[in-house]
Amino acid sequence: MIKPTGISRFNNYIFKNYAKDSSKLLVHVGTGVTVIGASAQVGMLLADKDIEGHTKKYLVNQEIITSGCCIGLYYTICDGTRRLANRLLEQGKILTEKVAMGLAALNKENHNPQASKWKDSFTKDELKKGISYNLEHIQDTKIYKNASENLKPQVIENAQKTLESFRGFKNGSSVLAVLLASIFAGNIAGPILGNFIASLPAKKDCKQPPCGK
Amino acid sequence: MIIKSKSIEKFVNYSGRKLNAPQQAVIMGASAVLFQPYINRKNKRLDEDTRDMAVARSIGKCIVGNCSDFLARIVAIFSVAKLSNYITKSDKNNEDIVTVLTPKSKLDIFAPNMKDGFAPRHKNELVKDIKSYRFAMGALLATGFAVFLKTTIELPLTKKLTDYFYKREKMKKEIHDKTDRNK
Repeated sequence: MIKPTGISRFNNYIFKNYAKDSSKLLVHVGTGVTVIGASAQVGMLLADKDIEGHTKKYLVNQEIITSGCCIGLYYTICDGTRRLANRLLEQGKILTEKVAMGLAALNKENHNPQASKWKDSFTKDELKKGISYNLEHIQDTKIYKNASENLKPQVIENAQKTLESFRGFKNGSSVLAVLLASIFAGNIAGPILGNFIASLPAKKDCKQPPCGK
Repeated sequence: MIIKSKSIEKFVNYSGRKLNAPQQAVIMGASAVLFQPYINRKNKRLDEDTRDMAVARSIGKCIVGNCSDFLARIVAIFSVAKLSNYITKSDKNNEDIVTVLTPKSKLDIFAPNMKDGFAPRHKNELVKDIKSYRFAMGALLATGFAVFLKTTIELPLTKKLTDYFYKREKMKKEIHDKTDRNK
């Protein structure tokens, strides 16, 4: 076996933290790229000799303030949205019929499972832990313990299939939520707020004779 | 709320599988070109010249920035995929549980090397996790790449595009003023 080195420890960290959650990656990478991009753009503006004094001053201010607003809003809105979406899904506030049916069918004693009654498969305390946790640790749930010995393998198999569907839906939902939040934060809210703040001193400058129109 | 529509479920699952860092760059870029110039154009607190420059710069910056992000991410993800071959034991079938994950050779510098701390999982689950991991590692690598790209290629290109769009803004205004005067 190849000995673990510093880089493989880093690889392991990324594998553990991002392999199951693409939306987390989108938030972190998006924020990183915005920081790098903004620093580069400010550098470019400062070095550009063709832009006039007051225009340059405004553009540099705009870039710094807009980027600051974008980075702040991007991280808070996107990460907040991602956490909210994950929480809603884990609590079962939003579920697909397939997942709800899979959860309801965990109770093998119930011969007529209904998607709307999926919550009956878990106790209140179990529900607080989240759907993923319960499906991953199905052997610890009351429904598994109460099942007859010959039905237990079926409960485990059913839990694994439901977990797979649930993970697919959860991942997709949080990716979409993060993308929408990033469009709003990075391309709408950030620039509007940044423009507003950045144009306050610019407006004051433009009242003075040389650039006033 | 229980979603009964199969098409919504399919769309959400598809998004989770397909939308990743490169697609994020494209979506963010397209929406940026749509919204940011409009927001700058509507900023009436500025004099006309500064506003035109801000509009031109936002178009140039969004196009070049997001294209280079997209390219960097694609190249980085491809490189990571090539340099992250791994070996596992006892995984002939998809249902087999994989307990060990190690790099295939010394060249596979991006493959996770997990002796302890690797939670055993089914082979098909591991394949999905490795795919997500490659995207994640590629995107992180691309962020590092971005420092180089932004200073060498992106900045001069942004400047050229900004100048081009600034001239266009001015020309548009001139044509608009002439037609107004003729009326």
